[in-house]
Amino acid sequence: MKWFKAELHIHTVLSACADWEMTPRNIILKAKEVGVEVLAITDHNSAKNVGACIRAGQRENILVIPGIEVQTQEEVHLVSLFPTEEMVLSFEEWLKEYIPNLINNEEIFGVQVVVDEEDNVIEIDKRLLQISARVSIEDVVQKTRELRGIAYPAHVNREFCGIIPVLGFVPQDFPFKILEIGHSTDISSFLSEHPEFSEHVIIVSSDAHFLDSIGKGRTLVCLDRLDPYNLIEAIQDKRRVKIW
Amino acid sequence: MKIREIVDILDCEVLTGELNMDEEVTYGYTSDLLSEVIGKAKADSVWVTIQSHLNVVAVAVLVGIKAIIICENKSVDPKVVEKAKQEGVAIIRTKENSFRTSGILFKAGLK
Repeated sequence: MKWFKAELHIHTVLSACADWEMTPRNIILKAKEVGVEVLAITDHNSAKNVGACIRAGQRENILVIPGIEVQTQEEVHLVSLFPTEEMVLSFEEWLKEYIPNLINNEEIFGVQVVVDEEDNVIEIDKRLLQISARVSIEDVVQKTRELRGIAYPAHVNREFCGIIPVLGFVPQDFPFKILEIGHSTDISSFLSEHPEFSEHVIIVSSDAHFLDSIGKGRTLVCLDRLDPYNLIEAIQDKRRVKIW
Repeated sequence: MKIREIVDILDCEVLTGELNMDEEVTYGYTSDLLSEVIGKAKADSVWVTIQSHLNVVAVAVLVGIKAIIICENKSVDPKVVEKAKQEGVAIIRTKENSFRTSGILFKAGLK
């Protein structure tokens, strides 16, 4: 067992709000530079760049976890992580049916770029992805689990799409034992405001939209081996996650 | 209806100065869920909400909303006001809640 530095919420150029420099190669090289060994690619309502990032990561020995950031109908962001690229793509196929059919306004939100592992542009996605899918929080959790993944709320205390400000609280019957908080939140004051989460696994992510943010997340996970199944298992166990 | 008239009947505070005050609007939409507004609000409308973070400006520009009416006297970050000015969206604020604001505007003829 060994502790690895993990960044479990990173956007690529496919997320309209992410910087142009967020390409697979750049992300992987930056991760390497700042000592991140495991990272999850979690674009907005889409997983089209996950495969390219996995392959770019393999060249540098960085494990890329297939993921997606879903905006639910409650306007809450959830991170879903999966053991394989195939699983995240079948999740995306399911989710696609629930995304309103609107066109992205590139001037306002930016261009959504699908790339390969060499950073070549393959496609410009014209759909508006920066919108809520017509699925509930429960639907996402259930579907993610069916595909052997795990879903948990992202940046829980952020005003825009964080579950605590949006719903006012995290309902007790929601099946989350993992919460993600942003890197600028002080964990001890967060937990003293929310003692109900003292038994939860807390993950601190950068939610990087810019290269410079990669490495600002402060999560360490204890793994037997660098493998997505192992990571998904580990982050559900409080003893195997710590914040430095 | 001109936005200036809306300011009068709701007794609003205008945060973005003279911007859009003489624009004509026909429609209104009330929601705090940004994605509902993106999907359903019409151009040339005013948007009634209690949301006041930066993303409201992007949504208003996307849809073609001329003014955002922030209810319940919610505080608005100066950065949001600045962005709204740049993007040509008026931000006006009222003490009324969203229900009463919508009712008053509906009665005054907004659709």
